[in-house]
Amino acid sequence: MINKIKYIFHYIKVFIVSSLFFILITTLLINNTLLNKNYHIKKMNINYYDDLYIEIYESIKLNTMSSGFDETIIKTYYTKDDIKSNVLEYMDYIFEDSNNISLLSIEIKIKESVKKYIRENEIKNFDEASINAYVNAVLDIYKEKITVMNIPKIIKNKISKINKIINILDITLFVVIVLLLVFNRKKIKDYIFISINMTSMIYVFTSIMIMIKIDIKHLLVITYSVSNYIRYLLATITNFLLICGIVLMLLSVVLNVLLNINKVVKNDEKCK
Amino acid sequence: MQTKLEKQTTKTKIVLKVITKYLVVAFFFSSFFISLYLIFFGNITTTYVTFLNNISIEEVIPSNKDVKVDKKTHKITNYPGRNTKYGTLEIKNVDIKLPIYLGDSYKNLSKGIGHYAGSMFPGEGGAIVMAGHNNKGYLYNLYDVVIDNIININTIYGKFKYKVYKTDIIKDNESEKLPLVTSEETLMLYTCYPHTLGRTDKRFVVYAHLVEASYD
Repeated sequence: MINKIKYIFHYIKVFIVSSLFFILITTLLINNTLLNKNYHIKKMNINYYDDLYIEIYESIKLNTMSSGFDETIIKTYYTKDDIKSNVLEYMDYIFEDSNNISLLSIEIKIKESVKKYIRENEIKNFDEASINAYVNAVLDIYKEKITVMNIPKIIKNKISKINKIINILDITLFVVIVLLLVFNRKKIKDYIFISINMTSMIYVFTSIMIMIKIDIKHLLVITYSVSNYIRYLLATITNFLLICGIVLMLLSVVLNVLLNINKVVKNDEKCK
Repeated sequence: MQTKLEKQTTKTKIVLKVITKYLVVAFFFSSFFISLYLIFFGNITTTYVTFLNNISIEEVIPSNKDVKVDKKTHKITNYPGRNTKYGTLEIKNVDIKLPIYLGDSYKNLSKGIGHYAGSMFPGEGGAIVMAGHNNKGYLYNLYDVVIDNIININTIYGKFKYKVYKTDIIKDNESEKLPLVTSEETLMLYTCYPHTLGRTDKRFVVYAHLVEASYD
């Protein structure tokens, strides 16, 4: 009876350690991906800036042609490097509480291009107020696309707070797990292998559920470029969870094999 | 004494036993953990998943194949698809002939006349609001339209003739001069005013009443 209770109590402790281990790994993952500015910057380099360039161009084109300008003038307003620099500035504003983006350089470029266009085409009949209205409209479109209509501002002050909370939580969890392992050294293998296997199974299950339940392919969020980026991010994270889960499981099986073969070999030698 | 093969078989059995034990226990623990998660956070998760699926939209290409008009009442029973071309507008006196698209987005205006989707359709009675750019190839010559000029609108469900009774220059924020409720069928066609580089805050509006209608 006492042995049964000890047995049950042992597996309750294993479950607690496994759950804490899973939470620790998951929060580390979230902190280094979704809540990490550099991770997003790296992922955006894939396609986001190209998509955004085209999106801004198409929006400004319709405005430009209806204002009497030739479409070719748009190419002088901004470059992909301008977009990247402004997006990075906005990311700093969201993640690191720096100043909001400044579009002064873009405004100067647009005004210079318009003046040059008027000069080169010898246009005499124009109204300064109408030109300014056009320049402001173009700047508004540019800013709206770069800042995703300023919707990310909602999470501006929250990300750094969440990061801090997760860091404290991770340290606490790590200390608790280590202490529990130290006090249960005799059956440490149970704790380690069951924790790894449980984490891997939950990851595989989660990635499969995301693939089945969420229609990632047709997600439409605010703009075309943001939608593409979020689809790409979700697909990457889902695939990562699946691969991570499978790798962890295989790793635990291989380690198990190696450790237990050594144990059997040692037992054989003892018998001899 | 065990033979080499028997020893090998014993080793394999021990290893498999241990691995299976860990996998089975981990499986039960994972199931229990996921069940606990669903009990405490199931509702929030379902809300987010539903939200994500609601913003997943398969692009539906609109069409005008099923546009129908009741032959007795002349009411449209199946409307043209948004952003589709459903007719042409012609003002012979000033050499304007352009396709009409449902919706007055910038994209539609770049292709022809944009029909404001919040207004009525030709032949329905009430106010019809349409817009176009004042560039050459669009409504550049609209300023030359005078009273009694005829505007022909040919749609996929009927042909309509309007006679101009008034023109006006309004500000872009004077929406009361483009009323959506009128006592008789009124076409209001507008464009930017004057011809200038850049954006203007004035609009040139042509007002016309329906004088003739024929249905296919």
